[in-house]
Amino acid sequence: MTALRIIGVGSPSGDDRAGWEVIDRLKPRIPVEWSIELIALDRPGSGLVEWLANVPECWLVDAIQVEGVPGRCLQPGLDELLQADVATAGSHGFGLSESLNLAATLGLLPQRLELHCVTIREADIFGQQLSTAVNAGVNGLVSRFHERLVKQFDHTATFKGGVGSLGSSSGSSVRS
Amino acid sequence: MTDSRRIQIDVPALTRVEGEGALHLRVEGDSIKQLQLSIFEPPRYFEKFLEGRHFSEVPDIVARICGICPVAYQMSAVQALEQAFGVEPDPWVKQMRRLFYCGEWLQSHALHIHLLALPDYLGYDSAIGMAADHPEAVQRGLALQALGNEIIRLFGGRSVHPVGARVGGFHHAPSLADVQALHNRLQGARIQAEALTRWCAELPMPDQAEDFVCVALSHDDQYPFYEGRLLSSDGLDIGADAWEHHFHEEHAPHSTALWALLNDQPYLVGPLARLNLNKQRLPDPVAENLERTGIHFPSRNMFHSMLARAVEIEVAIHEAILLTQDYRPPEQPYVDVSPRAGIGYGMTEAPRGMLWHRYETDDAGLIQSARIVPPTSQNQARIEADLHHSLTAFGLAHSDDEIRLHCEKVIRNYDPCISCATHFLRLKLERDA
Repeated sequence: MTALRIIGVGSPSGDDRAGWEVIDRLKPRIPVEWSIELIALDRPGSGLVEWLANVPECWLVDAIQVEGVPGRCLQPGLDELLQADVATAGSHGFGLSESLNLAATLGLLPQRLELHCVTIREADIFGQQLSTAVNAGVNGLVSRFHERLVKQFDHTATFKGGVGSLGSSSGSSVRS
Repeated sequence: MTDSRRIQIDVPALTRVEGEGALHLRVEGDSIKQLQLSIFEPPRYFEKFLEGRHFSEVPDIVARICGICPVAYQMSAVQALEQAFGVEPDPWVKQMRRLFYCGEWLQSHALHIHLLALPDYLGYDSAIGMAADHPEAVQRGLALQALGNEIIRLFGGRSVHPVGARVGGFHHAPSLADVQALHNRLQGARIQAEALTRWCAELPMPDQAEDFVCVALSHDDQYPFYEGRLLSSDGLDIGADAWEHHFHEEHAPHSTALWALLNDQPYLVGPLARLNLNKQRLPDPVAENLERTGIHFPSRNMFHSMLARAVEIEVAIHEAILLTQDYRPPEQPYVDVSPRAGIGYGMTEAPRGMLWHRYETDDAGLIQSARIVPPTSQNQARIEADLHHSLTAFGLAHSDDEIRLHCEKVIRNYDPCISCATHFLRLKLERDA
C-alpha cells in the first residue's frame, strides 16, 4: 500500500510546471521499496479529489503566483486555502482551493496533508523552461523532501525493523 | 404619467459554464425588447496557428483548444487528415478511437451533471455547497469522471490535452493487463450509471416544450461518437464534405464567436439532439432503463438535456465494456500514412455536439488552411432563441435574481464551452415599465 503520495500539480507553461519538476527530479532519488507514489498532474481541476482519497499521507506541490520574489517555497495552511474565495466560474476555474474544499466536504482528505507552494511571477509562465529563480527553488524543495524522506526511512527501518513504510513526517504539516 | 422603473443588474460571473460570456436583457413591461448572449473572449486563432504546420503536429495542437473535450478535437482532425491522404484506419484503430471517445463523454458528462448543472436543481450555488448535503451524488460524479479520465490516460498518456493520438491511429497501444483492469472497473460502474439515469429523471424539471431543429451524426448500427452521416430533424442527410453547402457561419456584432445557422435558422447540437435523432440506436439495456423512467424521447424540452447526458453516460459505459472485453494489443497501433496534397473533412460528436473540421494540405503534408466549427458556436443562436421562449414561459414577473437564475439554468442546459467557441455570464437586465 502507498504510504505517501507526493503530487505535483502544474501545466507545461513556464514556471507553472514547478510542481511537475519537483516530481521529475525527486523520482530518480526515491527507491521503489519506500512505497512512495510520485504523481504529476496537469491542471486536474476536480479530478484532484480522486488523487487525495485513499492515501494516509499526501504532499501536494503547486506553483503560486505572487507579485514578490519568485522561487520561494511556502507552506500555506489548509485553513487558509479552504477559506480562500471559491471561484466557481466553471470547471476551468476549479482550482486547488476548490478541490481541497470539495475533498474536505466529502471527508476525502488524507489523514495528513502538506501543501508546498513555489512562488512564481505571472510574467514567467510563457515558454517551456523554468526561470533561474524558480529552478533554484525547485531544487531546494527537492533536496528538503529527499532529506526528510531519507531521515524518516532510516528511522522507520531502524526502529520498526522493516522497510516500505513511513513514519510520521517531522516537517511542518497541515492536519485535516 | 405612468410609473417607470429601470433596473440594471450586473452579475460578475455566470458560474458553472466553461468560458466567459455575458447576457444583456432589456424588458419593457411584460415583453422582452432585447436579449443578447455575448461571447467576449478574444478569438484564439487556432486555425491560423495550424497553417504551415506538419500534419503530424495537428492532433497535439488541436487538443489544446479545450481542456474538457480534447479527444473530440483530435478525432475530428485525424479523420479529416486521413481523408485528405486517402488513408483508411484499420478496425482496431476505429474501435479504440470509439473507446477513447467513451472516456471523454464519461468525464465531460459526469462533470457537467454533478458539478455544473445539478446545483441548479437541488438549490445550491455550487457543487461544494451541495456536497455537504448530497455527498453520495457528488462522489458518484467524481467516480464516473475519474473513470472517464482513466480511459483517456490509457490512450492519451494523460487526461488533459492527451498526446497519444496520431493520424493513422495511436502512438501506443495499452497493455492487455491495463485494459482488463479497466474492463473490471467499467463493469462495476454500470450499476452507478443506470442509477444516475433514474435519479436524473426524478429531478424537478420545468415542463417547457418548444420547437427546434436537431442536428447530429447518425450511424446504421451504433450510437454515434466517431462515425456517421449528419442528419437533422427536418430531413438533412449529408456527409462531412457537404457541411459548407448547408450551413453558414456569420459574425454577430455582440459576440466574438461565429454563429452557425442551418438554412438561416438556429439549430441544436449536443446530447438532446443526438438522443432525439438516435434513440433507436441505444443499446437495449440502456433503452429499457430509459423507458422505465417514463420520460419519452424525442423530447422538445431542453431541460431534458441533463437526462440525455445521463443516458449517454450509460451508453459510454456499455460501449466501453464491449470494446474492452475481447481486447488484444495489435502489432502496430496505427496504419502508415503518406501525405499528399488534398482536402479532407472530419466530423465527430464532441460531448457538447457535432465538431466539424476541414483541412487542406500540400504534397509534404503541411497544412495550407484549416477550418474548425465547434459545437458551442453552433448552439449560440439556439441558446438565444431558447432564452426568449423559456423566459416568456417562465414569466417576467419574477425578481431579477429569479430571472437571472432561470437564464443561467437555460444556458447551462447547453453545457456551453465558451473557451472553445472563441468564462462567466455578466447579466445586464434593464426594465422599463
